[in-house]
Amino acid sequence: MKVKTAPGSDYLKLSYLACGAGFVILLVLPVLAPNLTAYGIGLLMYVTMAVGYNLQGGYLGDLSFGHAVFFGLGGYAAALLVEHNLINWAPLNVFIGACFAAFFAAVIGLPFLRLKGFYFSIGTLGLSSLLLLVVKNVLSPITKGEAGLMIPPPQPYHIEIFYYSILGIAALSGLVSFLIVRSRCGLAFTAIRDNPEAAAALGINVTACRVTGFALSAFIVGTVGGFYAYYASYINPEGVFAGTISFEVLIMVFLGGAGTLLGPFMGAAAFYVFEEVGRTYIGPGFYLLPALLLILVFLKMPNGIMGLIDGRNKKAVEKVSEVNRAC
Amino acid sequence: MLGAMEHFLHVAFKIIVFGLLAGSIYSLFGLGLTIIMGVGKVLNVCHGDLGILGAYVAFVAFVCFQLDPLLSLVLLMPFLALIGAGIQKFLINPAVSDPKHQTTVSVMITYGLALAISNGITIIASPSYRFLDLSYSYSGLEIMGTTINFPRLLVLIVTAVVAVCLFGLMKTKLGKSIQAASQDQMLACLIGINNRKITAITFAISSALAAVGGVLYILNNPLYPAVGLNLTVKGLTVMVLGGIGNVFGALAAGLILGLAESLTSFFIGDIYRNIVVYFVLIAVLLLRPSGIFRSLEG
Repeated sequence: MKVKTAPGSDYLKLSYLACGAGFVILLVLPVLAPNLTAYGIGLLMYVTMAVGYNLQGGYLGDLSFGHAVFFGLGGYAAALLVEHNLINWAPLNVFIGACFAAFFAAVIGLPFLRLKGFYFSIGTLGLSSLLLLVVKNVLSPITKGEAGLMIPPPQPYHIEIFYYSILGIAALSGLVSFLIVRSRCGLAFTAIRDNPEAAAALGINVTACRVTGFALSAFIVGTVGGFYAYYASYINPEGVFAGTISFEVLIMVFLGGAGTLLGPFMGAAAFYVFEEVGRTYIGPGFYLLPALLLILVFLKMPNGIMGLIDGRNKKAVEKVSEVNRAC
Repeated sequence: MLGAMEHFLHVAFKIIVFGLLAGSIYSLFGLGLTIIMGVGKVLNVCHGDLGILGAYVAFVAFVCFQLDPLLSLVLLMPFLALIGAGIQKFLINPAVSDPKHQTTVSVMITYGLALAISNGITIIASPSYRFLDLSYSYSGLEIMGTTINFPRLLVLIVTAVVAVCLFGLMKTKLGKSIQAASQDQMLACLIGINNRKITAITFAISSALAAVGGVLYILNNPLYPAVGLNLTVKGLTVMVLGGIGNVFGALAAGLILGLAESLTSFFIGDIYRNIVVYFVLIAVLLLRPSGIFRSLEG
């Protein structure tokens, strides 16, 4: 009988090959199929957010229900700088927005990350609902409240510029998460996820790691927020702080496989296709499709699409049936 | 001078009564969430949407057959209880491989359900607002110069009845098994309590409570598909405030939250009313995660 070992070098080679091929296809997409460029931008925004979320939700295991906060803060910080005539150079604004989101994450992370498990999830859910209302009502003299902010599109305006910048952001965040996961820091992250007490006993600074992961994840999601503000040329509280955004990234990450490098890419792509099909054929209420998908994923493939590829789903399902027999 | 005093009393009475009335619905949602979280460590994010599902059924029954929502509630409660037990048995149990992950997995699956229910309703019934036009909507009882209309009084009465029933239930053998499972699942298992069965039964009770909450909600508020998640968040706040698994805590926390809302909307402004809810949620989580009352978790 052939003994099955952990995914070896063949598997790794294949996944590098797949990444390279995917990148090349995306690189030439606007040339080959210009009418798909807008879809490509949407897809890459989802991918980047999923990669950002995965760093924290997947590797550190802190499930945040409020990542829309960082998306919204990144977008609003970039837009407010334009609105109040301070800085108007798109890359710098997006960068400042992302830094602001990361800074905010680090500040609130210190108290919030003391909360364990689902308390953290509920806390972030409350935080995102609170921030939506604060930006909409309390800060309305600065943020123009419900009316939202208009941002003049950067000149010269070409959709290809947007496409290649988000492709660059996506590739860069993919690379950053690859480097982090493969580093000492990434090992510390997984150790904390699997057993925080044991990790602390090994001398890992648990709080510092969790705050770092939170801030990094917020930085990446905040970048997409800033990009979105420029791309849509308009930003309003309901659009960027909505709870649905937080849950969308969550679904994408778990669909693809949380805590895997390629999972967020696959999950975001699959989710995007489902969403667009639903939007086209169902109209209002199109979230029905992703919702059913999410339930199906948790019932049949707990390790997501990546689990389908490396065969961990089968094992997990077998384990569940074992547990069910035992009870 | 006497006039001013009278005016003050009148306003204070109004604030308190309306706060308690809104709060009793929050109590109902918090109660349902807290018992299932306490017993099964199941965080049911589709709780509000189950309530909305019940409310839509009651609404249809009222429009088509002129059936009073409270009468249809009698049929709705067992119906939703069945759905709840089904969710636990066929969706959550098969997905949990490790009891440690029960909460995470249940959040994901019930969030999927919440989206499915609210979007399914949107597809069938359109996202527009709907109002229940009851014959007794505009008549009411005058107490201390404040007119409280009958639907609002009904909310208070039904909540009281449900709370009494729930406390009664906790005195029976089933209720004691629920409390035991909620305190320590492992020990409950050792004394012969079937945890899976108790969890499914608790889910059924919790869903029946969601039906009551949903139907009471539409007596005084507009109905639209997206409101379910708002109600869930209110219920979560009540659950955290009262302490997880604490039935009395949830009941009191709901009323406190309702009072806090009506006080804020009177003294600071109506737009701040929800801000206070989330602020309270975060503050309690950070300062007293076990709730403001003594929690069963200790």
